[in-house]
Amino acid sequence: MRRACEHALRVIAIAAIATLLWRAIRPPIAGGVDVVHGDLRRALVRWTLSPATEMRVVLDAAPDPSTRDWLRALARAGGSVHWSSSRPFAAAAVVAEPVPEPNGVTRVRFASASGEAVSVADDAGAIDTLPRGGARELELGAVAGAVRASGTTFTATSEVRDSVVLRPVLLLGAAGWESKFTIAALEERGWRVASRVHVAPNIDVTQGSLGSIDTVRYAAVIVLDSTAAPSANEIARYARAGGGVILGGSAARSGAFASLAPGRVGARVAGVAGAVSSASPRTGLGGFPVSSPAADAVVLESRDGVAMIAARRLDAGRVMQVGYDETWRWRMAGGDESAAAHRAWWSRLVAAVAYAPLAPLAPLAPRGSGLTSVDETPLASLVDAVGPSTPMEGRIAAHTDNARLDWMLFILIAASLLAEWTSRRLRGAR
Amino acid sequence: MRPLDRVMRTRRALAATIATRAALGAVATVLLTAAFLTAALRVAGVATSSVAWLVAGVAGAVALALLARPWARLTVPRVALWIEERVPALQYALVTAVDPVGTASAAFLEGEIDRVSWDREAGRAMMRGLRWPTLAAVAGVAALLLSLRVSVGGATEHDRAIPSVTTTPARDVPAPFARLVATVRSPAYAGGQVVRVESPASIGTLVGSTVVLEAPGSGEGITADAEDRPIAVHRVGDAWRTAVTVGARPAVIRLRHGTVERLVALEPRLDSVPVVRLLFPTRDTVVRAARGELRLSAEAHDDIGLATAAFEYIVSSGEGESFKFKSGTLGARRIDSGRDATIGASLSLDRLGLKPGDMVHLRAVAHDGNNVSGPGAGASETRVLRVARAGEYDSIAVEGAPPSEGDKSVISQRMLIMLTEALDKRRPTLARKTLLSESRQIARDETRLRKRVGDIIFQRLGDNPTGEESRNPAEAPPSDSTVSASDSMRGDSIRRATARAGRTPRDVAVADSADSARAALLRAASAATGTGDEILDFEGDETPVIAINRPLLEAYNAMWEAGRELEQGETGRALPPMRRALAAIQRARQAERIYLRGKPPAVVVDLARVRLTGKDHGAASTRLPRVPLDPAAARRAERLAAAIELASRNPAAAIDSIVMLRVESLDAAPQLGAALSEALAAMRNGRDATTSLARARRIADGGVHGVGDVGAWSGVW
Amino acid sequence: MSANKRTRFPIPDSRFPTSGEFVFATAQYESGDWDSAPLVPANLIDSVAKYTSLPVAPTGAIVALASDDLFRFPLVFLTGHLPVRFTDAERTNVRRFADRGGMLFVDDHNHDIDGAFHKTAVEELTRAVGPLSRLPNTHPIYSAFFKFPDGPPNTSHELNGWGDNLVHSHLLAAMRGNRIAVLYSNKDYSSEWGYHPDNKRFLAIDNTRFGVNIIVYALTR
Repeated sequence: MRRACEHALRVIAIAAIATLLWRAIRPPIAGGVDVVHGDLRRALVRWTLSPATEMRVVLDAAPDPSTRDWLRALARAGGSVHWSSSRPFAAAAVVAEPVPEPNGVTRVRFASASGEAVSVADDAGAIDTLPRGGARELELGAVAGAVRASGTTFTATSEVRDSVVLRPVLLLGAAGWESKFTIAALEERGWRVASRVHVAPNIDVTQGSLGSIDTVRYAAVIVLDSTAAPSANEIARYARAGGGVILGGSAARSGAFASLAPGRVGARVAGVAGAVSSASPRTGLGGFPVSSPAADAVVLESRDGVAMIAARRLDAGRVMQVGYDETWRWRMAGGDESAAAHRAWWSRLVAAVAYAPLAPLAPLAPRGSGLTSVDETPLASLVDAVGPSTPMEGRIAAHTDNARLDWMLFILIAASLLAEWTSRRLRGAR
Repeated sequence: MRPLDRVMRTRRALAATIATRAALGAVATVLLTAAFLTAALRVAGVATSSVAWLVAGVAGAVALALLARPWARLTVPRVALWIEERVPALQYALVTAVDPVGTASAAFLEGEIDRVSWDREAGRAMMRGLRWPTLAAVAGVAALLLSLRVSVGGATEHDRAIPSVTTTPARDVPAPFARLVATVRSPAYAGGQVVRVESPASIGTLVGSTVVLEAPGSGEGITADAEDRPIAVHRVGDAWRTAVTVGARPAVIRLRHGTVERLVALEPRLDSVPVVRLLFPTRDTVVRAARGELRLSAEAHDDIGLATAAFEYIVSSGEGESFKFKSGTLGARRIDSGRDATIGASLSLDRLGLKPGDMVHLRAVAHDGNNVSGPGAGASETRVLRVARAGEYDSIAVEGAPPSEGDKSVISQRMLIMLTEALDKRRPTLARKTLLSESRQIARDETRLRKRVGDIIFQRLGDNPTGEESRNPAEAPPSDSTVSASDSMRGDSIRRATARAGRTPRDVAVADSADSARAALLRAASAATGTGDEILDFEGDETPVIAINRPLLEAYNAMWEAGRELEQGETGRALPPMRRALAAIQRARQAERIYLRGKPPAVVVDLARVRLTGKDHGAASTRLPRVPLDPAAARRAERLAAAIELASRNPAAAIDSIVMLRVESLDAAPQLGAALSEALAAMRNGRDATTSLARARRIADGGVHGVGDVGAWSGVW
Repeated sequence: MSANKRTRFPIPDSRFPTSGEFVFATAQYESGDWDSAPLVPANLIDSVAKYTSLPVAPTGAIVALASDDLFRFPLVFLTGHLPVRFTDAERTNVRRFADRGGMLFVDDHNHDIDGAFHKTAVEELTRAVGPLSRLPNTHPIYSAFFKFPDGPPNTSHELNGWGDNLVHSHLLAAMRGNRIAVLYSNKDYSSEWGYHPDNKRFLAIDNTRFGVNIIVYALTR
């Protein structure tokens, strides 16, 4: 029995060797259709030197950009290049861009088809995962190298290619806790803030350079109350020219600001007692809801069915209406991380409207990724290069080049020979 | 096959089995020994050690030698005998057949032997021989994996005085510093322990410890500095030496010889202040007469060692704007470096000569023996003993404190009015049942407040409080149809009080609002004192007590009336008496310091009258910006990124960069410092540090700020 | 009935102080006579209304140092004559209050640097928020609204030789970054400002103007 098994293992090894030999020397399919499945490198070289009538690739995953470009070149050179996939191909995309905030915040958006798991990582390690596909947006302190979104059938890559030019923020309002802590939050977060805070008739506390309100000077203007009403027209011009404006509290009630605002100012609502230190701290804040939002307004935050933050685009600029008028309570009376959360929240509000032109960075060579260029939408780029997927006929499907099969055969040979030798030696035979 | 050939074949199989068994046994010994030593060292606070593997290797070699001994005894006769033992059917024919001497019956024996096969029995015996070594090897793998999960023990409190040193493998140390030795001596007050370690990488020790670094050699060309301040290098015999005292901030000692550099990180441990707990007295006290002895007791604990402990007291005498103070200590005790101590004393109140109104603040204080950066002083909570003044014996209004947590159940009259108004507004949209339920809840709060007012009145009138205050506040007050006996008694008390004044409650209320000569006098007196609308009136046959309580009586009656209406859900009809009650309470407050909710009387500024009427004018001013929090965070992230990139080209230089960064992060970014410690440990021991460096990188870069869905507006919302 | 149950009734916001209003808060602490200056709040409120257009509540508030309500008032006034000994809860709250951006103004009602209030208050404040150091007389608080080129204005009690018979030339402060977290005075502003605001008309120079500076500094820096 044992000898029979050893004999069988020898037969298996010889059969596998013969299969490998045959695969290496077999001719292409008659009719000029050359089908390649798996490692495309050898096939691409072959096709470049002597193109087949029809060149067809069967892909397990989206090819890397250089392979895709090679296929595009073959197609543009007059060849007939088609592709299909051995299993359903998922659409996916990733993009990384700088957020207009100090200290280099990066926004990463990634998406994959429903049901297709995707995980995002950079050179520093894993960032996030969507087990069932979908879309997500992240804001990170910084990314290391290129950002890769990987699934079973794709790897999309993006990198931050620009940096933002950040200008100061201008804050206008009456002296009070809200203006004090809003300025403090932005400055502690790294923003440069210019301000004019009204204390008494003709007496203001000022900071920074206070010139005309222009996108050359300021990234955003924050108006906390009606004391800035005399500057309303100037602020409106600034917004239409591309500037970002935040109308806080009841500031949008003032006539000139009302035309900018995403909605009207509703009757003030109180916060839920004690909620400031809970997991949803802003439910504990009072404020003026955004009522009757304009048709083009985007509601960013609502509470009990009532919008508290809304934004809209106004010509080249952006205007946000923030109904909360005592966010300082969150910083003072919230939980242990409330001060940091308050800072981050205000910084994010400003970043969402800020005028921040981009400055291109030097191209980044991805470290350790093995990729040579950005590939943010692999499937879309493949379709753009060689057209959509076209299914194969049956006989063609049977004739495929599969490097994985070669490796499996090699392992089978090695394992069967090793098992045969071990059994023989343990038996005492030579 | 001839018998000899068959025996040789079996002999070859046995040899393979012995070799396999010896190998498995050696592997099992190495793994089990390494697992045991690794676990033991990690518990002792050492993360990794090559010594453990060295010992395990030696043990494995010994096991291999012992288990491989049978190989030498594998002669043909022994193998034949071994086969005979397992196959009795051979009846020693095999041993005879393979005897080199030979035998005349060899052909006969061969035939007998050919009929017997021993392959199966021999195979089984060999497999049995391999069973236990295989299991032991598997157990060794499991034990090693478990030992790596044992967390490295940090410095326990018991060990805080003992320096801890991590080392770097000798292969990574450049030549002039290859045999560097660190001698660390903790401060004398902490016991002066000495630790000596070769090839130190980082040293954690108390502030004030001395660190001496020495190595063989003349020291010529060697320079040393710490935080860019040079340190002298001396030659001592055949070696060179440099010494530094550990300060309060982390630092790096940099040794240089030409282009070769060696870093040693200093991580100071701060000596904590003692923790003191006052055991007796257990709470603040108010006494009528300060006589006798007050027992004092406290316990103290320190992480290194206590030096002294005592009680401190401050006696405050006086009132208004004039106070005198005297202070002293009691029960002082020297403690000879023990970590725990208990002190006791007795405070003679007679000797303090306390008078009514005096206060004594008491606390326990302990000092540790830190004569380097201290001594550290810890204090207990303070207890206050107060001697009541004569006029305070029957007053409930002395404390004047804002409402405490427990007091929040008593809602003020103003709040009750607000709630009733809100409910009245919603009344048209509410079902009757809901309205009654809400209204009765307000009625219950009104009752509680009425009870407080009643208590004040009762005490002042000399009546004992009735059973009203002993009722469960959550219970509904009785409706009109079920007035309890206690309520009757209370109502009777009030009626007796007002009757003593010769007036009915209604008369009292009417008299207050009447525009009579007395009312005019009341208003003039009120204006002179600058307080409320009404003042006290001592005319007629009212006693001052009755006069003082008149507003409270009115409030009490109004609250009673309001409560009745609320019980029936008549919110609109309840509001007027509620407002009358509020006005009466305010008048009572302004007349006297009665803190129904504990607040002292407030002067209300007429803002409309004074707004912008000041003679002086201020001036505009300029605000200076705040500094960003942690401006060095971005630089740390950049330096870490550069060090990671350097690691692939020059690991030793990368380690040095990360050491410097870690020392700087210990104070400003402790989380980053801890992550870098893990990475350094891996890098120094030749392990893959990718994961730990990635984690450190993520911490330095600020991590993930926000996660959200892709929406119509940029940003995480 | 607890406060939480009250949230079932939405109370019109006209009944609350408006959200932008400054409320002058006095700290109540366990160990001493925290209410020794009951007229200071009204006096300073009157001054703020006289000289500025800041919305301000007409009466002050009292808040316990150990209570979470402390964080509703980012500027708190603390005074007294008697020794100051914080409980653990008070100390923790004061530390958190300073770290989050609050400002505590402490005034020694005895105006003597060797007195029980001064020694104990400085010790407790140092334990809670860190060491108190001399505030330079050129600090922005002295020009936040009115100008005080010579630093903190002297009080009549100092000039009359009350207390320790000294005129204290500097205030002390504990900082958070470049911001004052605790402002400490032993010049006895509690006595200086402890009178009914209507009596200001008898003064040639309003001696509460430095109080306005403190409030404006707290609200704008």
